[in-house]
Amino acid sequence: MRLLEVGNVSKSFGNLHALDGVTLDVESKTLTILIGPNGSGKTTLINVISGFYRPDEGNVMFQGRQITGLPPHKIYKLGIARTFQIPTLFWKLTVLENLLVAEKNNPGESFLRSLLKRSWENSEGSAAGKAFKILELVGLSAVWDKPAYNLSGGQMKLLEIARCLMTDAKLLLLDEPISGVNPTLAHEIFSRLIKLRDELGITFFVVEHRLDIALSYVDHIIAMALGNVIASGQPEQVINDPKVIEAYLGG
Amino acid sequence: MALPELVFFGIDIVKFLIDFANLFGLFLAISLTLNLEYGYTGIPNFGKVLYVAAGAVVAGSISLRIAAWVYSIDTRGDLIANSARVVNQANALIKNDSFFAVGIVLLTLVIAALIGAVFGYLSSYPAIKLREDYLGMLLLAVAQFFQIFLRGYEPLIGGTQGISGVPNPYAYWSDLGTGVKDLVSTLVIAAFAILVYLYVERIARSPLGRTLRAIRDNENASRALGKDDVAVRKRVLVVASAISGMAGALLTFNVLSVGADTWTRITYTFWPWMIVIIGGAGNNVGVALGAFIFTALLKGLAQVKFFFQPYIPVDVNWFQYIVFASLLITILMVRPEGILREKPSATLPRSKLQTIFGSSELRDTQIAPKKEVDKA
Ligand SMILES: Nc1ncnc2c1ncn2[C@@H]1O[C@H](COP(=O)(O)OP(=O)(O)O)[C@@H](O)[C@H]1O
Ligand SMILES: [Mg+2]
Repeated sequence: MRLLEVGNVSKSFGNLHALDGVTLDVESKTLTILIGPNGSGKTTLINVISGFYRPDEGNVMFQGRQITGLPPHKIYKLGIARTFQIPTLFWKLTVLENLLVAEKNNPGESFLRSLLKRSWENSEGSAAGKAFKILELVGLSAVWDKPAYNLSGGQMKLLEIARCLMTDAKLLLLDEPISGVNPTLAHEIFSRLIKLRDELGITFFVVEHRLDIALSYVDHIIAMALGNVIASGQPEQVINDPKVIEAYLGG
Repeated sequence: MALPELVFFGIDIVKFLIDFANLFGLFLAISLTLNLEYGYTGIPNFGKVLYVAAGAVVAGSISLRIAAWVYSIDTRGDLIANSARVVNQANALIKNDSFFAVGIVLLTLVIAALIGAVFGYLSSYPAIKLREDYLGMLLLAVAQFFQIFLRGYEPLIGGTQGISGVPNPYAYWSDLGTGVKDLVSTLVIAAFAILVYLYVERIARSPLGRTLRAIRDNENASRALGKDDVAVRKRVLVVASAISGMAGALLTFNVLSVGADTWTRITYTFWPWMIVIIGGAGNNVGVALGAFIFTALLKGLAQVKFFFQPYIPVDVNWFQYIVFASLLITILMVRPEGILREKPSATLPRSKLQTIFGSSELRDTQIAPKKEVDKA
């Protein structure tokens, strides 16, 4: 089943065609990765899907529903969560708080109900329970009450992913989750993604360069160059595609 | 009964304490609204004086007009010019009119809150479009513009001259003895400041408080995690400005006069900023401490400043600026986060969190080995 369908999406910045008619599908419950040389438009595509950029043309469908042009917070509520290439944490919040912020439809967030502790105490308790489970899963429970700015680079990446898992999102868009992370931890991250895919049925659409690490975990690869999709399919097939080799060598 | 007169080193203690409480209460409430905006949400409101002034103007202009109308006092066609006479007659009548006394305070507070909220709502439009630093500058300029407008436009509160007097709703209590009506005004301010404190602290300790801090720390990440940051900031500005307007109204009823130069950007923008920065942005106890230090210094310096005159090369009235600026710079250098740091939102007590932590079932040790992650 197709979870995400991107149809003929274009996005320009002045004269620069960052996305030039991109069409691709992401199948449900897969780990699909998006590769491509620097500047080929991968982050721009993530920004379009998650609602940060409005495409000039084309549309994005999620679970068969048009989501083109919806603001990020609405897209999040439909079940798409994302991380950023450069860690964007809530720096002064603790690790646990970073997760709790991501809780969806929190009654204690309303200006009136926030004053009535009784109206949100229980949901806050269960959110905390869920958060601790996720922290165990990504191996951050030892630092649960540290402020985010105190974490190491790898822990920051993990926290970004952990935050997305709070949401019960069906689709996670991860922008270079293992860049700057040592190989051991990078493998650990990917094996956890696989586990989440299998146990919770989460679909991953991951921008990643480091094929040496990612390759053994992926179901599907999509390759971009200069704002276009140049190949898509099984891992072996895509990495041996002459157009892909050309893009990397010539780029 | 009259308030006792305790003179100590030439200072009337009771009067000193009342003045102290007025100043502390008003600055506490105003600084707390700035803490909600800046400390928690990251909105750099450099136009705070605007919302306070709006409330003060409302109290001055409305109470005078309502008093003239309710008591059918002859204004001889020019309310502003005859304000002193109107106020005298009104105060005499208020003495026997508890309904008017309480009613006018409540009504004015409601209208001041509404006007404050409208001003806050209007300023939220640029607040959405502009980057932080530009927004700060814009709000500073708008507040300045409002003051210039009030100076030039006399029908409202009499321009720079001001209106020589505002009906004193607390005059109802003046039969109880000298000074009692002042005490009532102080008690109203104190009750207001306490309510504002409880309100802001409630928010700070709720999921909403945490979300405000998240939006402040990273607006993009907050959007990606489902927060409508624009709507949230709008509401914060509306709420904080409504409260600021009420503080302005209580200020007018306390000093019983209002004019375009009753306040400046120094009194109700820079002082609250200084209080928040010194006390600790994002920490309400810190802000209360900051407000106390500020009030103590202001009142203390007023008592002793002439003592310093021979030793300082400038007019003694500038002395407080020198002291405050030195204090601010020292704090910024030694404790940039303020005296008290921001704390986690503590929606649930730590003990409860630990219980929840202990009972979380999914202890996934095979897949998640407890290894220290890298220091990338
Ligand atoms: N907000 C922006 N304004 C102008 N140019 C942009 C913006 N975002 C991306 N670009 C440009 O679009 C192209 C694609 O960028 P990006 O999507 O970040 O590439 P990738 O993630 O594949 O490295 C680059 O040339 C980049 O400079
Ligand atoms: Mg990128």
